[in-house]
Amino acid sequence: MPVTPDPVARPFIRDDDEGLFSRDINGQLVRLDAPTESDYEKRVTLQIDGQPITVPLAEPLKDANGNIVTDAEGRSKPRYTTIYDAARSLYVKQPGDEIKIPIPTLCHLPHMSPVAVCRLCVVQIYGQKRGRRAAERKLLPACQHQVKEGMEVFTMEAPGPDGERVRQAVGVVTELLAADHLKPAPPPAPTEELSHFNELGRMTERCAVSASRLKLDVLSDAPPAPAPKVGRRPLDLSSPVFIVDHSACILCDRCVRACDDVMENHVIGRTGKGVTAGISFDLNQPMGESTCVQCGECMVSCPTSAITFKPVARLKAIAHGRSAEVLSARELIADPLFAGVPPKFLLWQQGLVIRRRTKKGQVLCSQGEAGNTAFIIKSGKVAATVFSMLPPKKEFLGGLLSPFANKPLFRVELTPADIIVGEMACLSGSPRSADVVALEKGEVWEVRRNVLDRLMRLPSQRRKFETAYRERSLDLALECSELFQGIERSEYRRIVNYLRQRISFVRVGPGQVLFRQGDRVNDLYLVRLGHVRIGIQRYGSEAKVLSRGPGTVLGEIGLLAFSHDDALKSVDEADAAIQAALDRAGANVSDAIPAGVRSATCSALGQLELARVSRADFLPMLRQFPILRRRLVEQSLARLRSDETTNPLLRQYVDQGLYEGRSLLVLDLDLCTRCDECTRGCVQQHGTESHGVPVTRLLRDGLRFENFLIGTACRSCADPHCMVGCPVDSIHRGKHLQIVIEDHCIGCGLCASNCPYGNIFMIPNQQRRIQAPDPERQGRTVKIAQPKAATCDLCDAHGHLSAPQPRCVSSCPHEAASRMTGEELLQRAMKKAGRRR
Amino acid sequence: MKTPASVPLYGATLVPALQRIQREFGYLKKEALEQFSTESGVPLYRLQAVASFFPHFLLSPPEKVTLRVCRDMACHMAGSATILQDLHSRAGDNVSIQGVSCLGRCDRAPAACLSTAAAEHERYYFSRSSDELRTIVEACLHDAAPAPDHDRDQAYSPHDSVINPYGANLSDYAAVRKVAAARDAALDSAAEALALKEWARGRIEQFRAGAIGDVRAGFSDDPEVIKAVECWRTEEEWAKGADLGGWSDNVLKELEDSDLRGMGGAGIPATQKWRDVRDAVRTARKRHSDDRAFIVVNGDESEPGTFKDRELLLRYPHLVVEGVILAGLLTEATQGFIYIRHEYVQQIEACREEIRRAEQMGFCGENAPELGRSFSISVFVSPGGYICGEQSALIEAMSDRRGEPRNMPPKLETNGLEDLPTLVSNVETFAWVPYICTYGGKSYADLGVNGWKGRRLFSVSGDVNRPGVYEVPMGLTLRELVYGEQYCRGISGGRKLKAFAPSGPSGGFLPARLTAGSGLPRDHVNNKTWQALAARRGFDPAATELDILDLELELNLFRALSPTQALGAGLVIYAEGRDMAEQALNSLEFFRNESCGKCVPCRLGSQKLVSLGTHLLDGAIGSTRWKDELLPLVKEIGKAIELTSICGLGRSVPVPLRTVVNYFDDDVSRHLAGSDRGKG
Repeated sequence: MPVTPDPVARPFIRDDDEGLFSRDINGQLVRLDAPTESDYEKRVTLQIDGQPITVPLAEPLKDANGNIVTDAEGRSKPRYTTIYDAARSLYVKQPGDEIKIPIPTLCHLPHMSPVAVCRLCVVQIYGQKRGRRAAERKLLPACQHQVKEGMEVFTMEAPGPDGERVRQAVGVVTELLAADHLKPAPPPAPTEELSHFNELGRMTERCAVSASRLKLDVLSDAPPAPAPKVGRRPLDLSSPVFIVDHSACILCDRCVRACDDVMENHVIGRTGKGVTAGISFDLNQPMGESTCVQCGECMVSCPTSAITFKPVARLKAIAHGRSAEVLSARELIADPLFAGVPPKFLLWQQGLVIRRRTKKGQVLCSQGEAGNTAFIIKSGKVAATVFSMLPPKKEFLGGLLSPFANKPLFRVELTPADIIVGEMACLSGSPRSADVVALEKGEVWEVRRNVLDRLMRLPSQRRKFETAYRERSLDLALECSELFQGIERSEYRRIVNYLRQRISFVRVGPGQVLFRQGDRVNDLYLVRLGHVRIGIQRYGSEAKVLSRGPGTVLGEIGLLAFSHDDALKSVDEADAAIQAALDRAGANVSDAIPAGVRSATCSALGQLELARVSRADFLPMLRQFPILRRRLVEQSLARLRSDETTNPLLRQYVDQGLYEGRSLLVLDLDLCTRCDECTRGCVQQHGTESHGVPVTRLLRDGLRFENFLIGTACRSCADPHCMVGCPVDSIHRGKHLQIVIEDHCIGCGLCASNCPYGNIFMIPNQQRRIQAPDPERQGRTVKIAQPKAATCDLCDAHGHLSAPQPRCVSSCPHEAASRMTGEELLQRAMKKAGRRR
Repeated sequence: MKTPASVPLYGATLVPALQRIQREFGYLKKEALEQFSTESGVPLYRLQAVASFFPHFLLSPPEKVTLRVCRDMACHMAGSATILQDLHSRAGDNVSIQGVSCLGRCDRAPAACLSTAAAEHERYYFSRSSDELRTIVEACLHDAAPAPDHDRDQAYSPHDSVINPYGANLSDYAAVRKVAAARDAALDSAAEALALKEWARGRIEQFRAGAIGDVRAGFSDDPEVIKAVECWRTEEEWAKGADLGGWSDNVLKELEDSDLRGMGGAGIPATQKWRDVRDAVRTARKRHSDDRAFIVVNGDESEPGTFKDRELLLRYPHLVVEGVILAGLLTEATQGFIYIRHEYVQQIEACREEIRRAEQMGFCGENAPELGRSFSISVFVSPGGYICGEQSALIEAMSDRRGEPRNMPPKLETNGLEDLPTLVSNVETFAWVPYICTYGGKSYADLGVNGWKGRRLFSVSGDVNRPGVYEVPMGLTLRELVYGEQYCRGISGGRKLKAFAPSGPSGGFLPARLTAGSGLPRDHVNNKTWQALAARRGFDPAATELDILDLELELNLFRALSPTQALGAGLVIYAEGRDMAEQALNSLEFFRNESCGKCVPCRLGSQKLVSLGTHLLDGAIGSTRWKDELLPLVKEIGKAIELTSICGLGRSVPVPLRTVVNYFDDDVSRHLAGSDRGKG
């Protein structure tokens, strides 16, 4: 007689198959939808080791630089708050408190999306199940697990059995990692210096475990070898800069995310399976043979000694006299300003920060000259003086070089509280915007772009910089706009003061669309740096393309709600109408003028920086400052009336980036006999000095523009693409704002691939022969000439001349070759085209 | 009525592309990968990541002949290690001899798989000796390989299979017809209700023809229809469910009554997943978001000892296809997949053939007339690996990524393939659904014995006289299965039972006798399940010993005795004389080989345990060292792996060693060196 089995007949759900929080109160499975902005407002209270903490359900997503990621409309992207985030807000009250978080992490970095693979951040979670307090059967990763109301979390530091369980598990996982992968960095990496920053090593200290138990003879058999080309590679020294010791890799995926998500280089991935899995470059090639651009992000992200560097990037102190000395990484790491910068980065970039002791009256930099560095003020006072930015009307390059004899526009005194000066030129590649002079004896640290870039990635540091930047930048932004030219000084100051509180700065990457034609206008933009591509659609095709540089105001037509019909009105008529509308509106000024739509699509042609004023602040500004209102009306009507026909020359001018050129090599094809003397001159000029062999830096071929040939030679772009990301910071502007490649170039080719015009040549440097893996014989090396980038330096790399005298121009027997800016070229071409018609 | 625009179907691109390249060149040629990367824009690192993850893909040219011999469980018992060693030592040029993880032919051990550069498909050979295999390889080198063994030709005669409601007849998809009719009846009555609301006759026809579905799926933008549907879609209607007549609830009720559970091992009630996916689709509709959903049959069956799906996919593909269609009907999913391991060549063919037949009959495909909507089904050939049987890893593999399990929650029922609701269930789970829909849930439940509900398939291998796949009532005792004339017909050689692996390697090894403190539940005298079992089997509830042959094969019983104890579909029987320590090492090696490597504890811990096991069997460990130093360490490592691993594979890693240490101490001690600390 069968007996009915007892309690198990009810639906049986295993704890481990379903998390405590996977169903809502009605038993409905909880779908993990992308969080929305409204989730910022929702509060969740949980307990971590008995301490309650209330956090928002979601946080805005941040990028690798700690910036909040926003879409084109400026809206942030929410992501769910994790247990680790909650612990962070519970324990971190000020920078440096990170160590107090009782949840260790290894594979997780705040700016990366969590992968939860190292399992060191596991915690014990309790929740409610069928009305009872219930434990999750497994330990779950805090870096990835989202917070839920009523959750109880126990970390490895919790007293009692829960904490003990976590502690033991985390200890064993640490031991497992340390036994197999805790290794000193292989030479030629600075083994001793790097050893202090091995995060796995620190983890063993934190858990008070040693790897020795799991290094026992009986536990150390190697797994069977994987199939060819599948698993980890041996020690990889193939890169000119980096060393990859695959045996020290813990597969935390930090380099993978650094390469693929942060830098979007898409080179590093996982390879193989199981215990022989590893990281791979492309198709598991040696790093030096892959498409890796040597940006160094993977090395800086690596928590162990798996990716380290060769000390090749070290520089000699730039000769600044006896007052300059190179700062050691140790000093930088100890400096509070650099807290949060990965020590590995500072060790790698050792030599890129120079201490300068300044005397009273010492000039740190002058307005208009090229600046590749910024100055951190450690002691003493300096003054920054800005002169009028309007360059005197002059031909050729002289305009940029002539002394600025104008009277100073403004002058600020800066102290260590201001932290930094000169960062604008350093970061944007534009010329110095001010003279900086020491007012008393003091000390400044001169930092190169790479270091400053890193520094700016830290949200806390960047906030400080940005405040200083905003103060200084606003004047410059307004000053260079025609809109504000000639306004009476006191009125101008009032406008500046009005805007100071209301303006925000926006940075936009190349190609990114700022707004589209037909979008509702909510903001006024003022271009501070870079160029905007303005495309106007007519009947479905792009009818007009313009490029506008610094000083351009965008959005005033829409904000004033002008349409094409208004083009026929007089300025007085239109202005009076606006004024009347503003007056009528009374307190409710935002209703005075309906928001119009964008009359063009604007996108960034390079790195673009804009000042933004919202509509809510714009309308009161018009009311308060009639002079501004009048000028905006004037400008709007002028734009509406401007020629609307398509100019193919202009489109080409924009599309081919000619507007960026500061020193285009232009050959007048009416005069040029194709004798190639220019190329010969170039080869002769440079001789064997840079590469051990004669090398040309120009090709007498390239883009045709009207009846001009734009030679393939460096254009000294206004916003140089080539300078972005050089891993060793060896590409700079010279005295004449030309591009100069320094001798410590490692030949990675990043600048050459960055240059959209193919003006940088990678040529083997016969003077520097290095060991490289032999492609013919596995495991052997051969000596090869290390590649080095070469580009036109206007025949004056060292800046000995007062004005550049490029040999290509002087050697032309027919006066066909000349160097000019894009604008000059455009004018000439238009003139020529006009004559022809 | 307007023809609905076809929904873009989901399709993986990377894995099929790699399979194509491999077919063309015999391996993944670097140049071909580079060309594919340039053309498709998929970066090289992703090709490497995927290609190197699945052992099926070769990144270097293979030898002319490659012979892979299965290493696991039954094949291991059949001496595959010796065979491999033997073949290896005598292999000549142009031949590669490799070990391979379970090929799913444990009842025909040892199983071997032969691939040649020339042939597109692999050939399988069952139960061959070392000499026979060598002859085959030799012949192959001279392009004269003997005919391979086919699953279809092998004996499969479960004495009383009931799973197929169509018996000897060809399936006419009666179960689908029945459910579709129930749905249409519900729609009819809804249409009548509309008529009462004075709807025009033509409108009602439109409605019946699926206009409501079209509007919700975004196919129809006829404003009148939209308005009509809007008026129907009140909160109240939604609360009752979008299916108007509650017809899908009726079907779910049958499934619930049947107590059908997931046959992949976890044993979650199947109804739960079906309802979750259906509700997730409805939620998506309510939110006007993407309301696609997927049904995926998990036919990755790669666990050693498990091969029942092999027979279902081969002999009853129509049951699987029908199960998928029923799931699609009920959940309103938009597309179905049958995910099959690539070693099941004939099974893949059989399913493809059946899908074609069902399409011709109008039961699936675009605008399937019998369904009144589109529902396409396709076979997804797995690029291979045990880990892909883990449901989230399976979805990852289908998404052109490495088959690494996800951190969950969220669950697949809400965030599966393409982050959309996805129902992943085992082959057998789907295969039982036509039976339940035909005869009702209760009649399935009644198939059980000893008070348990239902029926299921077990694959039995190891030391039994007749290994194979058996469809048995739930609650059948192990004794009946092992000794029953219609089942395994006893232990081979008339030996006694020594151990029993209840779930391939994942459930560890249970001894022939469970004793108090060693296998019996703690405080078993007060354990109700135990008492009920004792009463049924007629032994003293206070007994301190249980003959494992008296255990009824039922997951809930196993779990009630020990909460972590698994009962899978792959049962392996070990006779007296087997060295369980050696078997544990074999299982550990399997887990080590099949670990995906995503999370640290499983990746590194499994190798540590294998290393330890190897030294133990080599006699390199002394008894004091074992007891004082290594055993506590093993337990600590095991616990950490179980607690911190992402998926079930990690959780299973320590089980074989732990059960052998607990239950087969003699087998462990035998290997301990007499000296104090052993060698090394």
